Amino acid sequence: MKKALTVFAALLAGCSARPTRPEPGRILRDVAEVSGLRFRHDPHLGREHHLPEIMGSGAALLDYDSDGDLDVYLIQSGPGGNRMFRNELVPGGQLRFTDVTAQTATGHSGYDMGVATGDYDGDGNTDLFVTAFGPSALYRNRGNGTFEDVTRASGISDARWSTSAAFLDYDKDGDLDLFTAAYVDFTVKGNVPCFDASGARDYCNPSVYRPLPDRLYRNDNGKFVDVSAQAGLGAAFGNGLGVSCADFDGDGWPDIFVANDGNANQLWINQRDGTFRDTALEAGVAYNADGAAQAGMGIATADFDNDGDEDLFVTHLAKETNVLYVNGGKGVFTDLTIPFRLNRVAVAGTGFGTAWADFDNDGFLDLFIANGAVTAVESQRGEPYPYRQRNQLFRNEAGKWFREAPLAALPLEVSRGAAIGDIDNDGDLDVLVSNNNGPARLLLNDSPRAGHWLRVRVEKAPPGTRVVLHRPGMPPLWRRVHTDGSYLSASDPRVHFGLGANPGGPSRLEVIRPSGARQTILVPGVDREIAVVAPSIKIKPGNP
Amino acid sequence: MPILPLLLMVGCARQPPGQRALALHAKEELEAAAPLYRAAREQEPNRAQWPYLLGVLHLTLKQSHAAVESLSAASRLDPVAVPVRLRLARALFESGDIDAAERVARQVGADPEALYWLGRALLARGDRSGIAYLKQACSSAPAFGAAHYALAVALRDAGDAAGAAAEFAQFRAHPSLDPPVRSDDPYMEEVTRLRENMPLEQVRRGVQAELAGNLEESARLQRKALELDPNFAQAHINLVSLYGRLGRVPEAERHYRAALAINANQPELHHNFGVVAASVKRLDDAAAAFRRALEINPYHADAMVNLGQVFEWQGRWPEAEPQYREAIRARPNFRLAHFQLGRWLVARGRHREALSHLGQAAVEGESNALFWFGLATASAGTGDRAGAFRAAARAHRLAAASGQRELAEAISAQFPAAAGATR
Repeated sequence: MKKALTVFAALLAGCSARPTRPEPGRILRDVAEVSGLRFRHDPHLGREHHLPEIMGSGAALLDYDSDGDLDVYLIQSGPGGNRMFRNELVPGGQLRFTDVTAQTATGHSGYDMGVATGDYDGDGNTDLFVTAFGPSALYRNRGNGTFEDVTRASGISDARWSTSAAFLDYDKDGDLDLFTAAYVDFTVKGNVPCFDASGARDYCNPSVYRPLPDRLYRNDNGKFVDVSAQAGLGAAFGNGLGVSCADFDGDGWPDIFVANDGNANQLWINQRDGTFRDTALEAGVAYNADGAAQAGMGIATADFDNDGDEDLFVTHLAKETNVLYVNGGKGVFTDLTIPFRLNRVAVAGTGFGTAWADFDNDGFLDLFIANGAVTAVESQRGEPYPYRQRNQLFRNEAGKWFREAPLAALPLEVSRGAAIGDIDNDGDLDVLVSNNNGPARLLLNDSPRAGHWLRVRVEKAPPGTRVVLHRPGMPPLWRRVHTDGSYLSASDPRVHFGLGANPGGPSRLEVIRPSGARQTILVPGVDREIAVVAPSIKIKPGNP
Repeated sequence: MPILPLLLMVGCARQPPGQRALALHAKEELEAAAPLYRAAREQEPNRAQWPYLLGVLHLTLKQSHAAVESLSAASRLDPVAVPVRLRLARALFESGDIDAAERVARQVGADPEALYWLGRALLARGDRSGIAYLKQACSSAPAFGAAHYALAVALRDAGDAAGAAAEFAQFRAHPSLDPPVRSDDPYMEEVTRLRENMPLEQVRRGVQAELAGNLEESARLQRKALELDPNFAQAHINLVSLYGRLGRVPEAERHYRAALAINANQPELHHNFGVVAASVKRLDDAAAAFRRALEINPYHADAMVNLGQVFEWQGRWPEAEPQYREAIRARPNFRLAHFQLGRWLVARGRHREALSHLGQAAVEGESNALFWFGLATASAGTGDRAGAFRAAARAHRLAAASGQRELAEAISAQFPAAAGATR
């Protein structure tokens, strides 16, 4: 009896010394329906397999009413219009969504594709830019819970097929400019009939159409001027789908990476004089390690290897591989997909939305990928919509490599957009997934806490603001304020740090704004949100 | 009515799985082919063809571990077949087993593809001796684009910027990633033979022939596609363009009519025919074709520019300008559109305005002498004699180098000093 007790105690000791690490793959639980987030994307399918039907659409996580929780904006393709859902978490205390489309006047009803968020007029409120197969739209947040459509007044007039977009201050003049990727010159009238290998009608490869050049708009006191040509952005273009803006070469100026579907990607390096130069070929990100142009869809940008520079992950077709481009420090990249084992998948999917996120708060960024086919999946032929695939989560194994964590509990769907954020403000990251011809999914992270965390809200921080967490005896963690990347989607601008089981001693937080201004803050504790307002800080009570 | 499908089904079922797999493989129905190859493997366990083709299929589907298993089995059954070992080396590399990939590639020896995988395996381990193998691969197969790309990246990482730039240039010149075509791959022969009967394959080969500059061969392959499927609209569209460039206008027009009967809503069809019609000065037909292309695709910048040009030839000057401007709006850095608009403005004495457009046409790296000549003319018109001289000298050099004698003479006549200028 005594012996048995000893063994039991020893087991207990072993358990407590090594905290359990939950499988992130089992922790994402869809709560869209029960939380009131009822939305179904309808691409208005016809018999002609028009290409835009299969490409949309996106979603945004934004705090439009500045109440401290993330609201949801979902993009619709055609009648019915986009929907805005207010999160009632603050002050109600419960994750519930209310459809406030009518009150907010955000129900744009074009054949919409994606959304970008940012405070373009500098009034402290998050504005919306909606891309579309057709005219795009800019909504200014009035700051009173309503928006106004300022598209015409803003000078943005683009009726081409635009996809992902991003706000960035490329000229560092203090206001947000706008970059929009454009896809192909498809028109309904010019629809080309395409067929799958069995002879059935299917969606075309984009190479059937011509690529369209992307656009850069400079913000001149709230008016947007098309400066694409003078910025040199027309020098190269492909079938643009994904956009991510970051300082890839570490010179303090924002650059632009564009994932092109079937053509070489572009890496537009800011020349600091209003122009950009495409360095993608020499930088090693135009093509994969085989020299192949792939079907670039979504982009995740972050410093996943904690070495202080921005790395890239780009999603592709199932018959290709998603690619991890690791930054060597000065905007020169190496395709390290194979050593990091990101080509090892149970079943390959066609990746669209993607994001780096430390789902288990262990201090290492994991990867989420929203998958959905663009041509009929052979095994689903005969089904009404044979494009369903499983989304994927890759767990970062302490920076050594990635391992696929099954997401078996989630249904096979035709996923497109993915936006990341702490939707329930509980200290871990959740995922909003937009499905093509299907319901939006709100995947709540129900992980038992594996590590400590810190969330940083940098007030009035332009995209690209870097937030560095310095911990004694540990490498710094580099994150950046951004909402762009993924596919057609916009994520939580707040910066999240997973800290692992041991958060370390007294830590410093360094905020580096694109202007070069730096702030250093002593972290008063972990498992809480810190709001950084230059030059002082406010601390909100934590809700661990 | 159901008799025919039933008979077809019975016929299919009677075919051995390997034959059905080959047919599906040829059609690129890979997921359906895989289980049939597995069945064929079970039926004929000593035949290397089935695990080999299954491995090829897994490689295409990026299932590298499954590819390693199949190709290892094929290699055991046929240890001397070079294609089997080359594909095994690739599968091992992609599965992350770099040491084994290196070993297998070394065994093959001096084959360009083996040298490529050997070089990549060594470099993946941080061993820069891989560069030498990639150089050997490139020199033994100069059109092997993937080898040039890998070498460029390796040289870049080794700090050899000039070497890297040269190899990136080679990669641009030889974008085909495929290793040199092998004549010793009997296992793939049947798949290749089956593809001979697929119109899409013929169109693909035709496009490759066109890229290689062989227009007659390209046209032959497009015709072959039409023999296999007379309703293959893309082959007709390609023939409109090819025959136009070969000066065989009646044949181009015949294919235009044929394509119209299949699907009239294809902007490229109308655009291609517009170019053909314009080339023989059938300006009304050309304008109608470009307009039709623009009705279908309002963003077709080439059609806009060409329609503007036709308007000028018809003497409808004012109508040309908006076409050029619209083309620039659709494609901001479209040099030809900037050139055409600039030229149009020069002709109206609006030199300063023209200069901004011609400056966007004649940019660094542009090799069209006309664009530089236009820039020279506009510069002269604004009184910028030095700028005019520089642009004219460049235009003259480019025209002379490309054998455009008449153009070179015209430049000399307008800018006599430029003809004697040296670099």
